[in-house]
Amino acid sequence: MKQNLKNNIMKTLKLIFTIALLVIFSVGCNKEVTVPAATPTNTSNSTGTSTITYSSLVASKDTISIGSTTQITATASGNGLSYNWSTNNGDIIGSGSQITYGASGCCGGKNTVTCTVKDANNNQESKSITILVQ
Amino acid sequence: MRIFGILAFLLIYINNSYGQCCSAGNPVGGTTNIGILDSGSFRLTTFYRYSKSSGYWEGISKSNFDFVKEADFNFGGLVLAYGLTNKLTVETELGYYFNKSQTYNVSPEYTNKGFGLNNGVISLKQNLISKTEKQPIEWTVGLGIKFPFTKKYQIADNVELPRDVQTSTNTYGIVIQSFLYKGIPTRSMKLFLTNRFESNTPDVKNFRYGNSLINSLFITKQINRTNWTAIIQVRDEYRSKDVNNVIKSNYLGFITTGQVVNFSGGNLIFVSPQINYTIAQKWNVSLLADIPIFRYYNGIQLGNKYSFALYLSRDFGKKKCTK
Repeated sequence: MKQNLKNNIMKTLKLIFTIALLVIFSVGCNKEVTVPAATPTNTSNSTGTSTITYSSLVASKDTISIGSTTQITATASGNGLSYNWSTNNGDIIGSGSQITYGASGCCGGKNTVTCTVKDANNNQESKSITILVQ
Repeated sequence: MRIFGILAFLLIYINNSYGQCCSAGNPVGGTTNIGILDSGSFRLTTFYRYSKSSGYWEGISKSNFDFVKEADFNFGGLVLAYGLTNKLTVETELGYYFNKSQTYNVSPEYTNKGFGLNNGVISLKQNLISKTEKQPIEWTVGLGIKFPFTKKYQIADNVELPRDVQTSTNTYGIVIQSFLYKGIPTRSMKLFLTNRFESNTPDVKNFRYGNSLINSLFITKQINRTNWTAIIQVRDEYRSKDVNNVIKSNYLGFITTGQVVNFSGGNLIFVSPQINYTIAQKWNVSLLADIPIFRYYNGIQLGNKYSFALYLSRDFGKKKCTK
């Protein structure tokens, strides 16, 4: 009984070792990562002739309390524009050129909301804005 | 070991009972098929889960916070297990969210909805102790890898969906399990203690879900020698706080430094009655519901209102399983 237990533990350790190796190859080595930029940015990634004129990305309030919301409006012109929204933290509510940004308790701090505008030729321009959630 | 044959897969739990917010400790979960199989035999388990959340909690009390009006999900899962040897079983868990939605308290009302594949899990389970005579006792442990089918956040209508309605953690994780069985023949009772620990690595946005530890105690009893089995489960779910803006990862990402999310994690205790019916000694159908008896949430979090699950399972084996 005791010998069997010992053998079984050894087998299990071998398995754990094998799986750990798999994890290492899957996940990679220790890594340093950087905090996303918390300041407004304006980037352009156009290819070919762009029809985009991206004027502004503005929030009705740039500081909100936890659980409240702010409206963010992207002002742009061009052919066949689409508005693509993302954030590092919090909730984007709605779609199109104007959205509502809100954050529950999980998302306090300086959060970045980015709107990338694309035209019919697949050119794109991005702007980001920082919302402080406290 | 054969004791697990029929009963093992009945020991299920819903380990996603936190509110929708921050509930992705292990969305796939839903089952603790920790019992091992005979060499060459195969087990198929499918299940459906529904969960609804509404109302916020702060610590142990209800809160007036009302950012999200309500949230719910419909989830289908598939668990496949195969006995490599009489003491070693390999198991995979897969799942799909038909919807994972939350409706906000804004005017006009708006709902964010995600759908798609959940993380997958591949586990190996090793039986360490097996004694089936007068004082039956068995102990099995498992180690698994949780993996994402994509690392990208889901987008709907050109808008990246919030974390709470993402259908996957979008990152890797590890699952460690233990399953202890103790029979009490003099009282015609069977006791099962299961433990499941999960840890995740940071995702592409440098967000890392907190670790979770779920401990469940099951007591099973066949009803008057019929095909019905009654099971009562007491389950404790502990989750540590999430970490945002991870600035440093060590030990493959399982130890991180960053901004601790104080409104995450906590401790919940449930009682889950379960009823099972065996059809032709091959198929098993099981239904369970969660009844919370204690909740403690760090900060303010959306609380689970109710959840239930329906399971269907069958073993295909070289040997016939016996209770």
